[in-house]
Order: sequence, then C-alpha cells, then structure tokens
Amino acid sequence: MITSQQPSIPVRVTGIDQVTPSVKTFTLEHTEGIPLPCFSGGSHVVVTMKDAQGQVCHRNPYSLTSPPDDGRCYRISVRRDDAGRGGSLFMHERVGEGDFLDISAPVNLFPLNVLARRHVLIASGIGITPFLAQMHELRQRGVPYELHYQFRDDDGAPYRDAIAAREPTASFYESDQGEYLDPLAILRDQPLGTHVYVCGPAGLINDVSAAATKLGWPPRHVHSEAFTAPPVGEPFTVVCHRSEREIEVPGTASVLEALEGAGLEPACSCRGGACGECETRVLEGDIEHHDHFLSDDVKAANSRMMICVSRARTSRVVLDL
Amino acid sequence: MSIPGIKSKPVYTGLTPDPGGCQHVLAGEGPGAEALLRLRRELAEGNDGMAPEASAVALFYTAGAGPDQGEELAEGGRDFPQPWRFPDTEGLCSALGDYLADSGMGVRLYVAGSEAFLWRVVATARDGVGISEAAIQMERCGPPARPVCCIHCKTTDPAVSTTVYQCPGCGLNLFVRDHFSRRLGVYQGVCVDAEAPGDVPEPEELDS
Repeated sequence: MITSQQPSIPVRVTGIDQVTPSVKTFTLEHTEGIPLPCFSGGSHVVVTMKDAQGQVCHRNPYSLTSPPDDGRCYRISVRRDDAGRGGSLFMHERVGEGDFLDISAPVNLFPLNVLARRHVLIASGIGITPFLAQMHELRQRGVPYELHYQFRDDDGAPYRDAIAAREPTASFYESDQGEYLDPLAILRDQPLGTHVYVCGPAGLINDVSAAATKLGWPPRHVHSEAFTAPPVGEPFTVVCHRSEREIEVPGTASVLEALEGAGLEPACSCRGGACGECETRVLEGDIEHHDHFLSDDVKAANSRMMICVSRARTSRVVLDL
Repeated sequence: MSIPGIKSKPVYTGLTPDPGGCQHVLAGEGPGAEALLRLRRELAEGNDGMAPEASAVALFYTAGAGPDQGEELAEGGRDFPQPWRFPDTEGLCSALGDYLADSGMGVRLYVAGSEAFLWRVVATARDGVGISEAAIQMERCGPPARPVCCIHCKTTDPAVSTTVYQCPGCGLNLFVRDHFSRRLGVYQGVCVDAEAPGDVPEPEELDS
C-alpha cells in the first residue's frame, strides 16, 4: 500500500518516447511491480535524480500525463531546457530504459473544480501536460470542456496529433503561422458555472486572468499552474539560527537544495513556490521573492520566504531553522 | 440554548456592490426590499464613476409573508431598473432561473429576505444554473425565523421561531440545532424528549 505520507516511491523507467525533438515521455512502473496510487488530473510528482556516485543532483516536479485511474504506470513528459538548471538535460541524456528513479507520491496543486458545469483548458507548449490527465478525467465524468492549445510550431506541440484525433473540442493556434488565441473571445460567452485553467508562461496566465477580470469572472473560477523552476542568481550564505549552521548557496541551487545537500531535511512539497509547505521565517536579510504563495505585504516586509524558489538579495541571510 | 462555535451556522453581512461584476441581479422578499433599495442606490452612485448601466441591473421581488414593499421598489423613475414582482417564491425562482440561464460569468447575485428565502434562491442559482457561492451575497431581513428540517420525517418548516417546536410532519417535539446544511438550506431539528418521552423543555425564542 502506497500512501501520500510515503517519502518516495521507487520506479523503473520502462519506456522512453521522443514525442517532439525537444520532448521525451517517460513511462514509470513500480520497481516491485505493485500498482501505483491513482491520482487526480493536474497532479505532479517530484522526480529525484542521482548522479553516478548515488548523490542527489536534481529534484524536479513533472505533471502526470497518464490516465489518472490507471495504476499500472505513470507517464511524465520532459522538455529539454538547455539553459535550465540541468534536471531536464539529465532526464534527456542520462536516463535510459531500465534505469531506476525515485518519485514522490502524487500531489495536486492544479485540480479541476468538481462543482464546475464546464471547463475551459488553455495550454501553451509543454503546458499541455496536466491537461492530458485532466481530459481523461473529464471524458470519464462526462463534463463538458474545451481545449485551447497554443504553440510555436509543430516541434513545440507535444501530443498535437493525438489530441486532434481524440478531442473534437480542441482548437490549435500555431504562432509561427500568425495564429494566437484570444482570451477575451474564448471567455466572453461562457455560461455560468464555467471554470478556466491555464498552464503556460506567465504572460499567457496574466492575459487570461486579465480577460476573466474584465468580463467579471469571480477570481475563484480562474486557475493557473503556478509552479516554476527555481531561478538562478548570485551565491549567498544562509545562517540557520536554531541549528547554528552556515551553508553556502551556489548561484545554480535553491536554498532548499543547498540545505538538503548539507544533510538537512526542511519541510517541502511542490518545489515551485506554490504550495506553501516550505515557508520559513527570515530573521535578517533582504529577499528576492519568486513564489506565488506569500501575499505582497509579507513579501515587502521580508519577514518570510519560500526557500524552494526565493533567493537572498544580500550576501547573508539568517533563517529561523 | 444554542451552542457557540458551530462553524456551519451562516454569518450574514450586508449587501455591498461588487465592482468586479458586469451584471447585477437582485432578489428580495418582504422586508428585504429595504436592503435592495439601498444596494440599488449604491450601484447607481457607482464606484469612481464606474456605475453599471441600468440595463445591467435586474430586480426580482416577492412580498412573501409581507410586508409588500413592491411599490417602493417601483419608484424612482426610468433611471432605475423596474422590479419584476411575483406572488410567491416559487414564481420568483422559476423566472430567476430562466434569467440566469441566459447570463454569463460576470453575474453577481444579491439576495435579501428571510433565511428560508435566501437559501431557496441560492439553490435555484447554484444547483439549477451553476453560479458559485463566490458570486452570491446574502442579507437576512425580517424576524429571525429559521428553516428547520426534522431529521426523523424530513419535513421542513420554513419559519421556526422557537426551540423547542412541534414538527408539522410527525408531531415530535424538536430541539433546533445550529448545524446548518448549505446544500439543503436548513438547520437540524432533533427529537428533544426521546430519552424521557413527555419531558419537553419550555420553548425559547431563537434570537438569530
């Protein structure tokens, strides 16, 4: 029995598909062949990657794209990001069929609203991933929905053909052909009881939120997949006040990763500044906030930080840890 | 006699214009007219000159158990939207449901009246049309009578003013609990003398 309290689930990579030149899909099964937990559409798992010495080198969250009620395997899709922090490159270049990985139990920070009468799903590029599982769920429940999928060109459009074949309600927008989705037009005539979900770059999320606000949508009907990879920046020193330790945070690692590298185990979940689990009191220092969790007031006061994504503006920061 | 700290007991506040909405639908019963008049004036005064057009405001009214203030709602000339008046809550809800079914996501619904009326309208809008409670405001007006459902025979008395009261369905003496079902829009009435039949406490007025 696997529960969400379990720290990690050992899995084996049983299949790798190159779905576009920059996106690979990995099929994961439990190492002992036992069923994986069912999940809800929009869930993600955190994949722990280890180097040749067995040291943890990356922990990245990826949306589950397989049918939520199928426990035989999970699938995740990874876009190769050459300018990123290295996790996606590791998945693309170092992980092969038969390899072992550790994943967290599924966590959902982007769930469908169960009372909604209609769902409008808006994706850009690799942002399609949470919707693949959600569309399975919606088809099964028989709730009306429509998908709007924006991408640059065919190479940047994972699963386009599969979606086109299966989803009569899908609309596609190829920006290289001058096609752009219009959030106002999409949202204008939606009936009462509709919820909208966006997964993509911040610009698209802002455009959809602005259109919804203009049309009078209650904020609770607008959902976005908020988590982002931790940004890179200048190195700095973290002082853990209670445990009396000083830890160097390199430019390419987050505070959370640096603490884990030093053998500490701070509470955390999404690793993307969305869930609030790793909220930490700041005793000294200025913070460069990158999360979607703390209020603007708290951020301005520099009294708290989300250690999974936010960094120090000063060379030294003292945390209540 | 009520137990403090029951979280399901609704807390009602006054109606205030939601500037985020594009279309404002007001529904009232009896003395709820006063709250609607106040809200209609505030909507017309607008917020930084952003008052909605009169055509973006609709009024639904029934006198219910009275008093009938429909004439007051009809005053004000063509600068104000005229109320649609109904002989009873059923008629009002039927017309309101049809109206909302043709509306979009920018609707805000404001309801004023007895507690039974508030939740009857919420059921129409939420369960019938799919509007979420995030877009609904309620103001309770008139005497503090409650809709109570007998847990034994499921008969709902829409206006119970005392605890204990006698169920109109099965005749049991019921204690009114503060536990409230938002889905059903009722409080729970539980037999007060099940352990010692005939040992019925004196009824007390419900104060809120």
